[in-house]
Amino acid sequence: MIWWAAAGAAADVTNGEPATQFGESGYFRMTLQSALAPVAINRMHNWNLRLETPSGDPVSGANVTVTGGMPDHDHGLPTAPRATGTVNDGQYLIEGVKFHMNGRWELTIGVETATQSDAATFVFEL
Amino acid sequence: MLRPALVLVSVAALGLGAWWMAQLPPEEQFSAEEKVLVRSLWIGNLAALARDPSNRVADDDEAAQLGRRLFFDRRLSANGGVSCATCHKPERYFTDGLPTGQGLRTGERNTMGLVGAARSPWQFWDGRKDSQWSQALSPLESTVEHGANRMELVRLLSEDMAYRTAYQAVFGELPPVGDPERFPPQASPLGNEEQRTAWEGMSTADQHAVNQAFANLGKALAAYQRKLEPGPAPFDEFAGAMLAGEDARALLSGAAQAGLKLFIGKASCVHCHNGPLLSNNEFHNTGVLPAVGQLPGLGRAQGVREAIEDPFNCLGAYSDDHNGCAELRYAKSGDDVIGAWRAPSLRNVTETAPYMHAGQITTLREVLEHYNRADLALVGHNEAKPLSLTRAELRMLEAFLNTLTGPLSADPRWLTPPN
Repeated sequence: MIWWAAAGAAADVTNGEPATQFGESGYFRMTLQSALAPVAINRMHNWNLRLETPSGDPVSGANVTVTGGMPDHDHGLPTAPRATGTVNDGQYLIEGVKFHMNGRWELTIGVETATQSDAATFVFEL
Repeated sequence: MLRPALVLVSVAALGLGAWWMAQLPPEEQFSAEEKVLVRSLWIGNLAALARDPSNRVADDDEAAQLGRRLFFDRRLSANGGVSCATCHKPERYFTDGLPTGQGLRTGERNTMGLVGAARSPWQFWDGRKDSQWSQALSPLESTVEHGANRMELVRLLSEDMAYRTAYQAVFGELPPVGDPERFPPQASPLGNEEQRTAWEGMSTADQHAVNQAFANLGKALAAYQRKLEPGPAPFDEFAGAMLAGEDARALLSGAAQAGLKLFIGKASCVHCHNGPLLSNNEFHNTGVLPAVGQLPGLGRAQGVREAIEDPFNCLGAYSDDHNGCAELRYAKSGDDVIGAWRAPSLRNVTETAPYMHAGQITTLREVLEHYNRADLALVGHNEAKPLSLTRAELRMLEAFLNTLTGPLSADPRWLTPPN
């Protein structure tokens, strides 16, 4: 299950559904989707990110970082995922994602362009 | 005749929870959510062993037979007295019962079991190796373990006719180590000064050829160790029956069933000890104190550095496939993993004491008390939180852990030295 404040509705990212959130600063709209459905623990897998302006224009060439972890357990992700293979139309491939236990996880997508930086945290339960 | 007071004391000793569990009809023992977790731990849920693309002979039976012979061969050591089986004893689930390994000298780390080890993306307590074949090379050249050097090991493969024949059938030609002009008697980049000097005197091509044969020796040992798979334990009999909708109550004691409920619930063990091996094979700082007289180790923070720099890693020249290696490519390093050690499998845990990376904790009861307290870590931070479990609950957990012992799921021939 996933909760996100901006839209007020829930998409099940753990089941491969895309979830959309605005960055905390409101510069970007991010749509995040797991390439592994359902998301299983202890499996290395990829996620896809679509990055847009609030009005829906794709944002390519941004520096995208991926961090996260389990705040309840006071630890981060077991791996260091990287956003690679930036292509046209604001699509990014996030490789090297792994979750090593069940529970509440956070994935924080950081975005930096020449002029703006923003971040959004996606929260879900495995 | 039992006196009421005695009955009360007995019930209290068993734990009221355990008694209560045993009275429940089977469909009420575990909730639907709990059954999902029980299934996740059940050995029937163990997937087929994944390929290791970095070792092209990982599933080659001839390589495994060569690996078996090497595993039990004490000639693979400086004094002719240490084999892999010296510390990885088959009759102890491939552990040694000692706090730390005892090869040529006493090591710093507890000997990890090999059962199911092929399923871990990382080897050693600190994950400084990213494959079983690469792991196997390290003790051979360690001065406290086998104390051998790669040059003399490759020469043994070349000069022992049985090894030579088996090696060539699996890997092809060995380097011409009989040529004293090119191949000194002893040499290794990790050896003593004399061996290092001898190594530096060799041509790059000859160094590479020796490294390749040395890596192949590790690949044969890995092919053998992949045969050491876990088999069903009493817990699995219980879980299999319960998940099939049968009345499984008689298959585990009430205390063990209550312990299982705690394991997947209040005690939070399943967070790290998940899946059919009861381990996520990842790295956690749980505030384990160093051995007496030792400084706290950096754990994974050091291990991942070594894995990344290792010439025998998945991305190195001796790996058979560089396309995958995702674990290494996306390995996490830095402060987050200081003082973190790999969570071991709990299969056969009763038989593999003592516990933790330096065998610091002697009994399962003390391990459970360690997690129940969850003291502050000396380095980094303890991920575990105090559990507030009662003594009865700790006993239930221990009763459950005692149900995880089972025979290996391996042809018996793999458990003994070849003739």
